[in-house]
Amino acid sequence: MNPTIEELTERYLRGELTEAELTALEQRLSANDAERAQFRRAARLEANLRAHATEQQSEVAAWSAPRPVVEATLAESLRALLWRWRAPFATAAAVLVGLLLTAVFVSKRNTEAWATVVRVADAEFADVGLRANGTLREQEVTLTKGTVEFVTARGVKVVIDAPTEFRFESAQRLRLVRGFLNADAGAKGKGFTVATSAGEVVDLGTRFGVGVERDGEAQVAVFSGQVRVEPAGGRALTGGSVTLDEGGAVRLRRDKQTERLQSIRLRPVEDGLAGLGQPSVVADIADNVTNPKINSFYGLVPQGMGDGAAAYTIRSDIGWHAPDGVPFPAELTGADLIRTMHRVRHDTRFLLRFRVTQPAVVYVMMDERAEPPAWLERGFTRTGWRVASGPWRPGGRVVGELKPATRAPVFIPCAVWKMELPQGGAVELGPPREAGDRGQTAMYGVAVKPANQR
Amino acid sequence: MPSDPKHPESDAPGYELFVGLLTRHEPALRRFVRTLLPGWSDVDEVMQRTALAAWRKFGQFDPATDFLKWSLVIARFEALAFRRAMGRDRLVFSDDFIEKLAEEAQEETELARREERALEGCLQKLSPERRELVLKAYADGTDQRDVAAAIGKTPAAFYMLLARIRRDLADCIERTLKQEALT
Repeated sequence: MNPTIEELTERYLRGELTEAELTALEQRLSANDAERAQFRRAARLEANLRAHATEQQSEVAAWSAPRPVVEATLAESLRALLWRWRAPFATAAAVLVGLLLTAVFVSKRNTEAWATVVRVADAEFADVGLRANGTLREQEVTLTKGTVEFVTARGVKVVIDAPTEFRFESAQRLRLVRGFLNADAGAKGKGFTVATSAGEVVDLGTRFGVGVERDGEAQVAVFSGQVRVEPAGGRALTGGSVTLDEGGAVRLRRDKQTERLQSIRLRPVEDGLAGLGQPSVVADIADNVTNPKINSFYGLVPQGMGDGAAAYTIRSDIGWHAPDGVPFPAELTGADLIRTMHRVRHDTRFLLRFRVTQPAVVYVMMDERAEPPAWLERGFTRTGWRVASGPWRPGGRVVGELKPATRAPVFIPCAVWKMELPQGGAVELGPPREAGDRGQTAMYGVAVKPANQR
Repeated sequence: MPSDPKHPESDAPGYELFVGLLTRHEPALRRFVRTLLPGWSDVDEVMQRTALAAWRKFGQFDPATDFLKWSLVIARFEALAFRRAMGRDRLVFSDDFIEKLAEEAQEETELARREERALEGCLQKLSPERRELVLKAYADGTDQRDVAAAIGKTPAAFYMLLARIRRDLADCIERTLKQEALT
């Protein structure tokens, strides 16, 4: 039975339509003025409901109930169970038809490329050599140096940095033996799966990264959209699959429940998981957030600080910039950058800890509009340098009373503070503002530079 | 950056006027963009771009004219630009169809405003449990599957329940607008 216009509209508004369904909806709506009016009415109602609901939602409530990791839904579990236990005789006829169809298509499918190489940068291979425009099916590839970029037959973009060992198992499935990759699945690549010995990562329409450093252990980070993470092993031990949202990262281990990964290394240019190629003086970044539903990560970008560097993990559109008519502080450029989480800015009990592995200077970029918190004044000195974070949306909550002098977007002025660590060591930073402080404060940023590189 | 020499005519009072107008008309702009794009994250992105573009062009706005009409044109352009930029990654309507929807939606801003006002009363007519449920489901950043799990329902059953509540609200809004028209 064809879905009704109401059903299609609801699924459209939830972002669940397939390409074919979307085309069908557009055709129906194009041809029928009344249905189109009904569609617009439904979209308006949804927007009005969201506005009402959001009005009632305080910032504190939003923080205490963040975008969560969701246990496998009952429907998903049931579907998986039915698939596993489906009786062979019940599908005998379908299997027969399937076999006939397979026979017709098998010769074509056996020669089709699963992926095409679109870029090879400074790459060396241990076995199969790959060149731009070359194609790939099930052969194993060991990349010992450089970067390779593929596009699969379903349009999934995969970027792989050395050292990495992998093979495609189909156009929609890649097995990562060790190393790091980043995938941008796009609309048609939904369902693209990265398999590791620790479990599988199934794309739900997103950009994500997967890294395998040790056998049986993988890390997964989501840069936009969602993925489903399925640990290998018994459900009783792993707790089943979890859904990971944008800005979330988890450690995936065979026969273990997934656990939040507090920090990941990020590529300096576009959002993506980075390998261990570039050294960093920062290690063991962690906060004191104990909510088990929070899976957000801190992004460590080795030598990534500079004019235009992204400031936060989720809001990658907000960056650090040179302030009004003044060059970007030279001493900050090239420092290891910790991309913080903007949404913790109201948590007055927040603590951020990390370790500095050698003599270095720690810089904190703090919103100048607020009183400096006591922990900052105690441990750091004001450098007199300034940077600006932005572009922020004019009139937004964070911007508050800030008024730009021009029609440009709003930038928040930040003072740069520093603390010298002649021996390296543990660092603990407090909240961006203290209990009782009023007014708006943007979350601070952190950068660390080895003493010998200043 | 804050002092852009390309905009020497800008000043702080203009900014206050802009923020005031944007705040006042944001719900209408958001409803409009929601009609054109399927996902809330895309809507938020286009709203952000619209606000920035409107601020850049605010020097061309005549305060004696309708800010909403002016900003809807910008939002329409930004939605189309976003759709073209994201064409490969997102399932979205065609340019022509978005244009058609935008044209019609621009004619319905007054109707949309009355619907918004009517919704207030209609939400109050729901039972407290249903009202709480629907507002939880539509709160910013909420995953509706979580709300479903919290009340012990499968997502599919929860979506059906939400659809029923929305249908009741839509009927109530329609009745309210008809009554308003009669009086």
